[in-house]
Amino acid sequence: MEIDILKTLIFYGFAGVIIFFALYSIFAYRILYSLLAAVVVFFFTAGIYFLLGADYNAVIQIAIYVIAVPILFVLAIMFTSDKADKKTYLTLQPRFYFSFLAAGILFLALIYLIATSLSLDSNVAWLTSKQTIFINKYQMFNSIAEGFFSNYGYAFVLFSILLLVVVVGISTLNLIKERSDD
Amino acid sequence: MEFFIQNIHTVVLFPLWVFMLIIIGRFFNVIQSKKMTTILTLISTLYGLIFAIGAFLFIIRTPDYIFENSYSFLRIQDYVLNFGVYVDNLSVIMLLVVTTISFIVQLYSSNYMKDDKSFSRFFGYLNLFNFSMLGLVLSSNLFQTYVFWELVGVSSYLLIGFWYKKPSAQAASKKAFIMNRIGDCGLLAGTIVISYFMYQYSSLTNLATIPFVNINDIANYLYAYTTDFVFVIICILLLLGAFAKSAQFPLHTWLADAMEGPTPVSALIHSATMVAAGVYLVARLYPIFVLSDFVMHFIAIIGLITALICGYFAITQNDFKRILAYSTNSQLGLMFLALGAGAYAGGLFHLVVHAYLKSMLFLCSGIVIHSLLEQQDVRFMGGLRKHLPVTAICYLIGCVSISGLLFSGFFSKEMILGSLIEQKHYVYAVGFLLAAIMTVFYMFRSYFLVFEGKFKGENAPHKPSFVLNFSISVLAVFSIFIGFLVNHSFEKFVEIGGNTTQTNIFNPAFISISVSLMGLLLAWIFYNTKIKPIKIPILYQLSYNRFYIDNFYNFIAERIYYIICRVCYFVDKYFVDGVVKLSAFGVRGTSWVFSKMQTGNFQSYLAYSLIFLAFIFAGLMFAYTIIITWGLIGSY
Amino acid sequence: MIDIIDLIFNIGLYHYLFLALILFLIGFFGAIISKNILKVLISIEFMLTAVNINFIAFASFFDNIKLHGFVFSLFYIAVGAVEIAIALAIFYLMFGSKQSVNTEDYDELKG
Repeated sequence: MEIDILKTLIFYGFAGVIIFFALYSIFAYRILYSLLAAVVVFFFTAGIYFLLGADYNAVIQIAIYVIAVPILFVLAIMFTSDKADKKTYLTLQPRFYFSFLAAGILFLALIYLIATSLSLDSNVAWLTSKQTIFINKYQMFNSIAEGFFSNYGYAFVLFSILLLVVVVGISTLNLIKERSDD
Repeated sequence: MEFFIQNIHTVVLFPLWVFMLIIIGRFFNVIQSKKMTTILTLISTLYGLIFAIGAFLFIIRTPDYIFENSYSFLRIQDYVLNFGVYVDNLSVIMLLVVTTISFIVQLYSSNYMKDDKSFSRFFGYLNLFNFSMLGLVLSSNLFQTYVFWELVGVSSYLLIGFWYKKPSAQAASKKAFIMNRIGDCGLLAGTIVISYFMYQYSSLTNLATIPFVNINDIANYLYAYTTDFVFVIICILLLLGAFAKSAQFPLHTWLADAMEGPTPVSALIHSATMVAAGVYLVARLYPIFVLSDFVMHFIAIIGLITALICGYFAITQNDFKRILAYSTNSQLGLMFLALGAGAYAGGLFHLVVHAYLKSMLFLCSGIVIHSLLEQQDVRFMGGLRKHLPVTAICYLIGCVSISGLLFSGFFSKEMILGSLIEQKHYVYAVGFLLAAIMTVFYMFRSYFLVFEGKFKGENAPHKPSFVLNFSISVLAVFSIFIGFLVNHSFEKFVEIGGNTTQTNIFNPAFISISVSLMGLLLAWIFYNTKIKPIKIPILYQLSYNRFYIDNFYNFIAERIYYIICRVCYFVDKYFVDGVVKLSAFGVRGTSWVFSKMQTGNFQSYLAYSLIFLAFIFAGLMFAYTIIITWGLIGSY
Repeated sequence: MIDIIDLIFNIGLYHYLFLALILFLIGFFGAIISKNILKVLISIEFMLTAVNINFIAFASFFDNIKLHGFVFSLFYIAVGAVEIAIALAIFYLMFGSKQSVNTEDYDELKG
């Protein structure tokens, strides 16, 4: 059997970084640190997308999640952070422990599910094999364009209307807020 | 004439309507006028009286006429409970008695109670009692009798405890009601057992509700289906009801205490009608009791015992109404004695006569008590003959009559005595004579103490009004002439089974009259002359304290029964209530848990959803593995 | 033994799914336990990216011709961004009256 070591290494490296920084993001003391860790996570998921052959998605992910979303967040943090970040650390209420337990159960359940289906399926190699090769290197772009404009045409148009509505809505809300501030 | 019998159910419903009117009127403050209450009540009773007379005239002309009209109101497959009227000779006689005495007592109490502030309530209760008694007399089967039996007991409770602010009145009414309930248990048990036998064993399931139309058949069937012992037990159960209602030996203590109620109540209920309900029940169920000698002797012996001991008690009592109460008790005992010894007509005749006599005596006592400003002790009365002449004359007539010397009492007593001697129950006859002597003695004692002698008060007692005098005079007239009007025809009228033996009443007359005159002489000597009455200490104590039976019952109720009640209360409070409280606590606890879950914090809601999701997945996984393992096993 | 090596070193679909699962649970966990609202929003973003990884992994392994998963994940990224924008706008409005980023202060629905 062939082992693509490079791919393996890259995958495990990226996965480790993702998990580590995600954990850091939720356990950080200061919000800005957690935001930056989140940015790192998004960046490395873009790397995972690359591994999977979705170049375009990776770039879009970087453009939006690494650049646009942090800007929004930083604006929000900038205007609303209070000095004492210690107060808003993690809660130690019962939901902490219960959700930890529940998450653990979920994790184990899903692993068990997958493991049993793995043991059932005789042809495991089919699922753990390398991904298939594209026909030509433009195929991805072809498919995406085709998807956007023929399969998901309606979704595309509706989504643009949605974006329009969002923009209008946010500006209206700000106008109302300004008027009530006066 | 037949119209009166066809619509006789209206006689029962009219007083009920007046009762509802009075009660609702008081509740909504609509009817407060005394005149309206009185007029309505009197009209309802007069209506009943007219119907009773009409029915009576009709029944006299057509012998062996029985009218029965029932509506079935409860149907369980083929067990059908009826509600209706049953009119035959006995019903009509009782109807006449009840309506006339009711009418006169209501007339009397419209004047007697006019200063009482709960006048309307009194008349409401009187109407309720009227309704119950008329329903009892006209009921068509034993279950309906039981319903009205209870109602009569309730009215008695309400009327005895009429002045409910007095603790002695509360206690007396409770005692009366509880003793009546003991009897009711027996009556209900007996009824149900008879009904069971009729339903299970005989193919005629319409007998299961014991209608009085078929009482002869029921008696024969019952005697055939049961062993002797069971039959006797059933009869004793039924008799328990009659004994409690008519205050016979073990359950007689409530009647004397029932004098706490106003005097018209005593006149109506505890002399003439309610206590006669027991005798009426025995008369109705006579075909059942006749079939067993033991039961007949049982009735007679209990009656005799009651007559003797109550007469014994009456000799030494000092409260005017109590003397009359024990006299009633004693006469009821004589009625039971007569019924038990086979003198059916005699017993019933004595019932009718005694009803008029006793109510008249009670009404006279009411007048006396009223004029002496609520003085009830006989030792402080005397010499009232000059001040209350009408009362004195009526009372004298009553005493003479009840002693069996003249007038109607003579005829009734002779009828009983004659039947007793004819049927060769000599022991009963001797007991009867003994009771007669005591009757004469204490009645005349009371007469001499109250009406003769010197007047012991300061001012003259105020004269009774015309209405009061009128009522007792009417009753006096009745009591004089009833004896003459109904003589042999009474026996023919009420005899069941065509057993028309005419008792010769003049042979034993000499014995009884001489015995009574002896008693009269004794009373005259002791109470009308200067000779002091002899007081034998032990006998006096026993009589005055009524054999300590009251104290004995009190002891049992307080010590023994009270402990049982405490145990039951404890069980009820902690176990039964505990279960209820536990369920309420469970509900409250669940709601507390759920309200704690509403934290208002969206993160906790997220946590709930995560937990839920985890459970769902775990469940799915579990189901998945089961399906897979079974699928694997199945595939092999 | 070889199976285990095979499992570990041959990256297949399941590895990506594992990664997505872990990231999802981390995001969910963070959403629940963070006291700061902005941290909650960040955690929600984690959940979104995990789902995205799932979509792309499935599309890449199974659907080589049409690549529906890629297209949909593009939409999903856009939706996620819009959602963050709206959430921050609402948060900003509510912050005006409350002046606090503590989630425990937003408890009007308590009871």
